[in-house]
Amino acid sequence: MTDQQKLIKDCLRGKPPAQRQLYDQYAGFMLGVCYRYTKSMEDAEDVLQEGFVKVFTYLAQYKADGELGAWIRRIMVNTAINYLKKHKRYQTELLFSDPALHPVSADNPEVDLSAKELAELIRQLPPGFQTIFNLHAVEGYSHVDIGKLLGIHEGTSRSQYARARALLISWIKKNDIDSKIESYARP
Amino acid sequence: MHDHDFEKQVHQKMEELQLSPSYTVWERVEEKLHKKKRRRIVFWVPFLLAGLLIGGYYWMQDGINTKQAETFSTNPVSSPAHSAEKAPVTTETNVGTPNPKPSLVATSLQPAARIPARIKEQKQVASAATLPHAAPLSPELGETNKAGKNKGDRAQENQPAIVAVKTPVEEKKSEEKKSAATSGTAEEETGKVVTGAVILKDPSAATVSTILPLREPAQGISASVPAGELAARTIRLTTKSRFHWGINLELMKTSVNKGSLGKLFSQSLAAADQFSTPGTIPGNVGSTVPGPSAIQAATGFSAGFFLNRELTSRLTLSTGLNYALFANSVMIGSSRSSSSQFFNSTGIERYYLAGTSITGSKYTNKYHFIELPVLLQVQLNRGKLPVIWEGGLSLSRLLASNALHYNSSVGGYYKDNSLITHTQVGVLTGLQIKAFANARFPVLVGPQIQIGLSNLSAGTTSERNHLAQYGLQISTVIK
Repeated sequence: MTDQQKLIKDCLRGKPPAQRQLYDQYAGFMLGVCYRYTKSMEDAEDVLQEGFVKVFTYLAQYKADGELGAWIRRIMVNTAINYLKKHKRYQTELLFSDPALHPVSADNPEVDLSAKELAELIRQLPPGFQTIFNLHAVEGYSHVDIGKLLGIHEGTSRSQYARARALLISWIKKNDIDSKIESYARP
Repeated sequence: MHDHDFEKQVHQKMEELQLSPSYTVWERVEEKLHKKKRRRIVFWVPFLLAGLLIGGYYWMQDGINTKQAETFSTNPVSSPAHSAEKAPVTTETNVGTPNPKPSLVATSLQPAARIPARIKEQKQVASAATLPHAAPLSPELGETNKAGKNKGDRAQENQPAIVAVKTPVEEKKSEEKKSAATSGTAEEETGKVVTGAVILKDPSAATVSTILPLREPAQGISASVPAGELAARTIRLTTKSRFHWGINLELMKTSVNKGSLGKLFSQSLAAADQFSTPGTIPGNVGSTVPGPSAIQAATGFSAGFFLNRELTSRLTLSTGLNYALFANSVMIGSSRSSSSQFFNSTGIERYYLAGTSITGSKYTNKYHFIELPVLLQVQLNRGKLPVIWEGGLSLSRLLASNALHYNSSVGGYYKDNSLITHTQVGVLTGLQIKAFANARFPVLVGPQIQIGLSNLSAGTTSERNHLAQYGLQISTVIK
């Protein structure tokens, strides 16, 4: 029995030290996930807390053939989506527009930002854009899946993504230019 | 640069993102998990209790039924009490060798599981072997039997038949009463006919009834009644249980008795511990300290459940489990940190000066006990309001206490549970009036008094103090 299997077994038995160990192992990374979907650290921690309660409640349903981290991550993403749906401040109307009007640009700039900086830029996207961008670009969900998850049309997801991507790229470029100007301005 | 390079970069960067959650997140997770666990436990407790109660009830009932079945079957039909005196048709039954393996099948009215099959077999065979006469209550069945087997026999073998057994004397009587039986009164006299079975009432044991269904032939019984119609009998007992349980509550005045009953609950009772005389503060010659305050009775209560076993119609043995709160109060003065040698040696950090009714404040000494009483109850009269006297012993164990003890050398009260005898034996007696005796939940109300036989003060003291209480008890029989 591997250490992780033993850890899971102990968590299933409700042993607090094992639960704490599992939490410590994944909390940092999962908070990063929650952080990308929310607008404040408080909300991110709320999602993290709800997510871990679900993890421990439904741990018996975890099948050992998959990676535990990926399973927990899925729970966190779903918890985050539910959280956004529940709270009015995250509810924005996602209007359907023809994806053809907003084609995904072929622009693929170099991202010279740190993980935290990039995450901050993603969080500045409007809530709908932010969610769809995270789901597609980071989690790798297809637009069909995103449509099902958010209850929107697949085309809406595509067009919103294209607009989110374009917006983010423009910010990244601007950020790049600003940082270059700043570096030139230094004595 | 390739397509989706931007997405790859974003994905890669985001995989690196790690943040430190604040400590409160884990605390909240832990709290929610704990709550869920508690909720699960709380959810199951009522079901568990209900299961235990139902299981216990059926177990008890089954035991009683088995015992009753045994008693009944040992001499089931020799008494006129078990005969169907007014059977419309009587038939002769010759007894042959007993059936070694009679098969028993329960009717729809009688779940076979209620009486262990082994006992049913043995006892019913015994009863069949001693049957001098048997009489089918169904006229159709009787006629069929007289004629021997006909085409209906096979069909009826698997049907419950109505049969009662008779002694020769009863048979004669039944002839005399035949007309009454045919006029429809037989049912009332012999028992209640229910869906092809008859319940025979037993006058000698008024609460016992039997159902006698027939299904398969019994070997060794040759009679005008086909053997197949008579052999198997299932006995259904609607016996009144000898066990009863219920809940009880007692509100009481409790105090400490210093020996004689005459001083019980006396207002001027002195402090009930080994340090009962005023003393002097060590090193302060001539400086007297207040004596112990009088102990006042206080209100306590006990609550729990009881289990009664009827020994005879008037005598009952009762036991149970109660939580009991005994209390009394003393007057204490201000709190002091302990500087005297006595307190230092005992490790006690604070004590209270003895107080008076003017200067002091009231302190209630509480003793929490779990109590196991064993009582004998005697019903003194019959009628609508039976009066029951009860008396017995009570074994109790101290769970917790905040009682203060007086030390005359410093004139103060302090807490030390090692000075209390944790296991107490008491004697108790009381009267109870049983109201609504015939109702589903009879209520018993009456006074009760209890005196502790054990010394409350533990240790080397020669002082004898006993817990004492009197109060009003109310209880109800659930089943």
